[in-house]
Amino acid sequence: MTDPSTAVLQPTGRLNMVAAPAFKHLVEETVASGQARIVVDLGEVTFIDSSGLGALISGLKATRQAGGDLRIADVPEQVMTVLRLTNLDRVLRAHTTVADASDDW
Amino acid sequence: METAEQARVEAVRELGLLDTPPEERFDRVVRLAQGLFGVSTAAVNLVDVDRFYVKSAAGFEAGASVPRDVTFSARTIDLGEALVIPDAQKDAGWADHPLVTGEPRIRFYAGRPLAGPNGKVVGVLCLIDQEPREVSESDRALLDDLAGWVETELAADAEAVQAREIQRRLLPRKAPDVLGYDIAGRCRPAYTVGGDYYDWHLLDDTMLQITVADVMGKGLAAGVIAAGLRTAMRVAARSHTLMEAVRRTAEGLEDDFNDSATFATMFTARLRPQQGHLEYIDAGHGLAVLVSPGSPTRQLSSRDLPVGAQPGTIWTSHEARLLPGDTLIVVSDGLLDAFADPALAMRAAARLVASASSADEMADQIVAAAASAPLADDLTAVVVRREPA
Repeated sequence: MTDPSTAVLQPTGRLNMVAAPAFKHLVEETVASGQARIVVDLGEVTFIDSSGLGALISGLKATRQAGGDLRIADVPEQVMTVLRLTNLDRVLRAHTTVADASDDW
Repeated sequence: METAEQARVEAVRELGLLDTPPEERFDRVVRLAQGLFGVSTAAVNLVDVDRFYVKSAAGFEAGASVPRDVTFSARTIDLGEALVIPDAQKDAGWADHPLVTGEPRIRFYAGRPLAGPNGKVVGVLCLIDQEPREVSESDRALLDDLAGWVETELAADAEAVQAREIQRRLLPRKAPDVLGYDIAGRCRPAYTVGGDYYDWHLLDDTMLQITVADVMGKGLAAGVIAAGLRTAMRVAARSHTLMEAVRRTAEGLEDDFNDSATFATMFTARLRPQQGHLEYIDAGHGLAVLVSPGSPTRQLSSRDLPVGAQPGTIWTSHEARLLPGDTLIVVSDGLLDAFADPALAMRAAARLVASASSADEMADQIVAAAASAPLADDLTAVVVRREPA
């Protein structure tokens, strides 16, 4: 069973300057509703740009400020490459599956 | 010479609104226009080279592109003023038009050109109905008012133009004069400007500080943060070690980074020209290489985080030597639009160095190498070449 305080978000397609503001907003709303543990399932994301990365990092800060965390799961290669390049894989640790990311907060 | 039409198309593209989703700020106006005039359809169309892009519509779905030559609005653009056709069936010029004889069986059309922030016509606000109707003077005034409202919203997009201007002003006007070195920088802004910049300045006349940074995100917000980052780094660098300068800069901008949901990757270095001694910090930038004839190309990266990604981050200095004949290349991730993989991009950059004879030429070639790919992100390249002994 997934902990009710854990939310799973599933952005799809291109997480870019068009989609990033809505995603950031969704994370903020989720945190505001009391779910500060967020797993972002990136399995359906085909591309991430700098705005998308900014939204993920902003989500990470928002969850941590609320005493939670933001984890990413099922990370596509393009996203992983960008995370490694920017060393953000150090703070946004990639989990293989959503279930895996949802354990041991 | 740029033609008037080219300048117009450039003005449309600079808005950065072509092929973008509907937005409430425009939808609201077309809904109101539809209701006030009691017509079946109202739309804001943007006019590209050979097509109309339906940015916002009431009565049908926005987002479509229509060939420019078949539309009533094309005529409005050519006319440069409001075009009103009370009854297209009875208008000799339009009665046989396929949009009149066939779907959507237009009888009434009113279009008002929309001027962009620089005064060039960028689109049309149009009303369409399947019944003929007369337009009074007060109707015309109302159409003008509504069009003026759309123009105000379009001017908000002058933001994109301003962002480009900010970025241009952040860049040094000329290369520093350092004996024994050849230095060049380029920044090619993307369609929607990102937060790239590069900077260099002399410290105590003995050291050259060089920075390449990429603020994540786009537009004015990224540009404003980039301006703040540049200033903070310049000020902190004057009286602190490199590590301390980066730390203070990050601390000072923490709230700005948080509020704007952004962070910045940065490569910053201090060069002692005579010794060729290079101290550098790689804050999640990852795209700096040292190309040395006869030695393997070396990537100058670290595992340090970008600036603004996490409060309390510590950055560490690393060292390298620039021997006579060596070249330091720092690029931004815009180069990854052309090369799938960072390693490939850096190898390509190294190859370019081998084939070029000056820093200017190298920087030009790096930017040109990505020119065939549509640039989704800014591309910045800084080349520091130590002249052979």
